Order: sequence, then C-alpha cells, then structure tokens
Amino acid sequence: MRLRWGSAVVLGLAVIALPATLRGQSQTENAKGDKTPPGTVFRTSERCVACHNGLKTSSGEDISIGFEWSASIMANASRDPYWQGSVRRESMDHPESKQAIEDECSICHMPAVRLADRDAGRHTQVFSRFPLQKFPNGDRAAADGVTCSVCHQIEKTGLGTDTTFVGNVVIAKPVQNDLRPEYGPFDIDKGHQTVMHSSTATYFPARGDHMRDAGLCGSCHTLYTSALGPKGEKLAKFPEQMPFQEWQHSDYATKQTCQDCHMPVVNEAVAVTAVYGPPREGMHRHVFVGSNFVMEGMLQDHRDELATEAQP
Amino acid sequence: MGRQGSRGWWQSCGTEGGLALSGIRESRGCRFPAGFLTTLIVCLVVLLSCHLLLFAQTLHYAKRPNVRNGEKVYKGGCIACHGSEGKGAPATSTVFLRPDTWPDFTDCAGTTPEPNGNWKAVIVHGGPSRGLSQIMPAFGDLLTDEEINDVIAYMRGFCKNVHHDPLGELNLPRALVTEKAFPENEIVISTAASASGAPAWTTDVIDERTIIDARTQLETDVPVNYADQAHNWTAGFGDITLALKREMFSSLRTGSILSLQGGILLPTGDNKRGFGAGTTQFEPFAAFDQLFKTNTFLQTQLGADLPVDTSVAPRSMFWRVAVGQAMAPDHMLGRLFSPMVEFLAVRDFKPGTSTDWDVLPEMQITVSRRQHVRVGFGVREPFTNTAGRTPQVLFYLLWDRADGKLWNGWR
Repeated sequence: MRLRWGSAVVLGLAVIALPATLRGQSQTENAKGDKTPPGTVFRTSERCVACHNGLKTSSGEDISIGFEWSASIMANASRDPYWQGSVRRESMDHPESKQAIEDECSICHMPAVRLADRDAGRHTQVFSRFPLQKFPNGDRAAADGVTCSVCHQIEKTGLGTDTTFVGNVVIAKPVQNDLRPEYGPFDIDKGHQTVMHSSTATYFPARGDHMRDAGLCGSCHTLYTSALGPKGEKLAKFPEQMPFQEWQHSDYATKQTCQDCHMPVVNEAVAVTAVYGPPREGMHRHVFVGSNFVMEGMLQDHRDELATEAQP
Repeated sequence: MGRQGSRGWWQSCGTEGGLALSGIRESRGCRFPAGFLTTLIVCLVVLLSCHLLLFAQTLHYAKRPNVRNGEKVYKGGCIACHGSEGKGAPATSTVFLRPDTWPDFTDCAGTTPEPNGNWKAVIVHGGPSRGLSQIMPAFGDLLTDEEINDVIAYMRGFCKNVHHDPLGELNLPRALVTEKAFPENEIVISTAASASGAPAWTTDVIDERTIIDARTQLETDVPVNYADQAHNWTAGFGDITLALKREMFSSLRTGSILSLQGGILLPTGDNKRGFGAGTTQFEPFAAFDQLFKTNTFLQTQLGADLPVDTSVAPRSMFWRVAVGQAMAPDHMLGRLFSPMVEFLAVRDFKPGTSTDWDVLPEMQITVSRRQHVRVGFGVREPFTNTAGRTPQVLFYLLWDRADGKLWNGWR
C-alpha cells in the first residue's frame, strides 16, 4: 500500500512538474545552430545564393544575384590565373618578401581568408590553397574570391580614404555572440532578418547606405605598392592601380558611382530575394561588368583546371 | 508481445474470479485495494490538469487549411530550395551541399509518417530546432500561422500515395506495455525490474520495422533475464518473439487506427529457471488506438497467448488500455511530454482462475531535438490477486531510426 501511494505521488508530481520545469528549455529556444568565434567570420557564398537566385524581371530576364556574381571577375578573383602567376613571379623574384607579397595580394583577391587572418593577427598562405578545387573538397573561402559576406560586412568607417585603401577595410563586429550585421541598401523587415540569421547562423541583414558608396569599391581598387628593401623595410610607395582616384578626378565623379556603371540598376521594382522578397526599386545587378573579357574566356575554356563554378 | 506486456516469469497468475472485460469494478473475486482508486483518481486529475496547463499536440486549425493559398506560399519562397516538385531545386541553383536529411517530399514512405507538427516546428524555428540542417531558415517571423498551415497542406500533395498509408498523427506515444496500432520503424530497449521481493529484471531488445509497405510491420523481441533465485544470480534469454502486424484501418478524420498482429513466441527461454514458457506460444491480438481533438489518446489491445502444450503453460487472454495526454510547450512544437496510465488485465483459461489487474502510471518524454529518441518510465502495480505478484519499475529507451542515426539530431 505504501508503495502504491508513493509511486502515485511521485509520478503525479513528475507529470505536473516536469513539463513546467522544462517549458523554458524547449528545443526551439535553444536552436541557435553553430556558434561563431568572436573574430572576423565570413560565411561563403553557398549560404547566400540559394535565396538570391531565381530572380527575374517582369519581362523574364534573369537577374539572379548568385548566378551573375559567380560569373563575374569578383567571384573569380582568386581563380584568376594571371593573378596567381603574378604573385608566384613576385614571390620567386623576391623570396625575402614572400610573406608580405602574399598578405598584400590576398587581401583583395582572397579576402575572406586574408581579412580573417588579418583580424586574427596571422599571415596568409596563398599557395597552400592551390589548386582550388570545387566545393565541397576545396578551401571554399579561398575559392570564393570577393564573396558576398566580404563586401556586405564592410563598415562605412574610412571608406574613400587612405585608411581603407589596399583592401584595408573595417569588417563589422558582432553585436552579440552570433549576431553580425550584413549590410544592404534596403530596409529589412524582421521576418527576413530572422530567415537570414537562422540559415547563416550569424548574419542579420541591416540597412547600410554605404553599400552604394564608390568608396566601397575604392578600397580594393586603390593599390599603393610599397617598395621593400633587402630586409623587408618599406622604402617608398607608388600608385600601382588607381581606378578609384581616376574616377574621382573624372567628370563621372559628380554623376555616377562605380556601382552605377558596373552594377547596372534594374529599371523596375524587383525582388532581391527569391524567398518572399518584396519588390525593391533601384536594385543593382551583381554583374560587375568590366572589360576583362579575356579572363572570362579563360575561365570558360579551362573550367576543370581553374575549378570554375560559374554556369557556362 | 513477449516483452513486459506478457505475463512474465516474475508474475504469478490469479486463481479465482471471472473474466470481466466490461469494467474493472465487475471483476468477480477481485477486491480493489483502497489505494487503487486513489491512484486512479490522482492519475486522472493529473491528466486533466496537465491538459489545462499546456497546449494540444495535434495541430488544430482555427480554419481549414487553404491548399490554394499554400501553393502560393510555397511558390513564393520554399520553391527556391525545394523545387517545384518538392524534390529539391536544381543543385546548380541552390549550390549549397545538401545535408543527409535533405527531404524529398514526393517520397511517401519518408513523409507520411511525419506528423504535420514536425514540419511546422521546422518551418517556424528552422532546421536546428529539430536537429536538422542549419540551411533551413526559420520562417516564424515571416509567415503567419495560417500561411504555414496552408503550405504544409499543399506540400502534403507532393506525395501521390495511392495506398493510404497511416499518417504520422496516428503514431501515438508508445506505452510501456500496451502495443500501439501504428506500424513502426524503431528499436526499443525496455527493462522491467522488480520493485520489491527478490531482485530480478528483464530487458527486451525490440526491433520493429515496416516491410513490404508502410502498413506491415515485422517485430523481433529478444528478452534477457537476470534474477536472484535463492540468493544465486542467474541470467538467460527468454522466449524470443517474432510477429507480423498489419494496419487494417486508419483515418485522421476520426483519429482512429486498427491493426491486427500475429506472433509466435519461441521456447528459447529456460522454463525451469522461469525464463520461458517451455513451449511455443502463438499470440494474436488486435490493437485499436483513438486520438481525440484535445490530444488525449486511448490505446487498446486485446489478444491471447496460446501455447502449443497447454500442460506446460496455460492459455490466457489479455486486455490492455492506455489512456494519455500528449502535450508540449511552444504550441506543441517543443519537447513532447506524454503522461499515461495503463490498465492491464490477463486471465488464464483455467477453471477457478480470476483476472489479474495491474495499473501502470507512466510518462514518455522526447529527449533528442529531432524527437527520434524518447524515454518512457513508470511503475506497474498489481491491484488484484496481489499475492506473489510484485510491483515493477519499467523503463524504455526508444530510437525511431526512420528519423536518422541515434547520434544525429541532438543539437
């Protein structure tokens, strides 16, 4: 009899208390996914393009951000064999400066790797990542070139000034453990913020008008190269590639930004995400159109050797 | 079956009274201990009070899901990854590496056993909420409750099932003894230990898997016994069970499912040590489960143990009922708790015997995020013919292998 009473009471209490006790620990409340370290973190493009492909204008023209970016020279910045050859040549000619060369060149051609290394106080090894292999076997961050999360995590701090030239941009810091702003030119509703944050486990989209600032492009498209002495000391710097400054001193500076020409605007309201995207006026296509058609031809002709991922 | 549900070696049979299936009060020759009614009342009060505290398990809709609107919702977002046919959009478009758990909504065998609640939890809170891939976003802040219900209704249409397999909603929480009607794909390790008297326990390793189709289940039950007999510990296998179950009828509209099962208990246990019946037994039974709108459920089982050699073991009939309430926080999308009470009766077909009645209050809890690993525990107490029949503590660990590997889906 004693056991019956005891077991009934114990089970009764368990039935009542356990759900109430654990109510605050539901699976959903704890489901945050991967934790990201406090440093600079770049998710690679495969986290982005599924939602940003399948975009079309009212006339049916495909304006998918993922497709267009992957075929651009930006996505293939580290795949560019001319760049790879140049860094190799420089390193062979100046073996004492090999590390400085790799660090400087990778910051704009392999930025997801270099910026994370920079912010962690590390050097970057470029050639250990070659040959690039197709996802998932290869180093995705290295192969991604100028990937989505690089540009869209750049803070407006110092854009268009010396402090951010040569790729020396400031990357957004997490506002909480795994909550990092990812900037875009539009206001974002809470629903889409949750969608993006949950599927990337780190980024939440936020409005950042500096995404349309020419200084954003100017950070990498301004290359001052320092001449190094025999012991690696900087002797002098000279302007090696100055497209941003050339634009600044042209008639276009007061008329059109870099983005206006190289990322042509869509002349109608279109969704920028395939996931319940509201129509947006002024969406810029991610074609990054340029004159380097030779490189695009090489990427197409040597798809296997270069691990080209863009669709033919 | 031959697991804790059948009369175990630790039990002694009742000796008087008549079979009374129509009501426990009518069991002739049985006097209910005073504690039984109290226990019963406590359990019923607990069940009712829990029902008031939490939300209902099955998704009940404020309005009937609108499939046409669901199609609009699907094509407005889901289609980007899951494709127009529910098999997945072209990998060249989605790019990301598909996880092992990537769903094919046209695969009826994979989707039909999934209740809508599982899908809704993933849509609302994202893949990690159920131990699935992070790539599945959380749409709870973007879609309304109605839109989510609508899109689930539309997605159900991807499975062109002409066989009318039983739906996952009818897969009720497993009771410790009473067998449910739903054909399962799971492995259960179930233990019953004496709570008083000589120490002893039986552990059953139960494998249940659907074969041929989703309506037919093959069950294998291997019991292992361990007992202190006259201060000597002894161990050995019990009678191994092989059984086939077939779902005969199921309807989500009525919340009902009926199955028939035929089993054979092989005399693999040593009956001299009390580990087996000593003869082959056939065990047919019918299982009928009923789910109510409040997520209260009833599971019933009626069957018989029919030994080949009745001089070694008597024929007997058993009747089992489990009544329970499924509940979970977060509008039934969180961890699932299922308190139950079982009433278990068995009676030998022998002159002068009476029905042995047991009561078994218990709880089942999902332990993994994916809810594919669950535990159940309870105390079984004889309340008629208690002489020689001791209370038992029962526990099981359940792994629904259709939902992934045992070590997957925990975080």
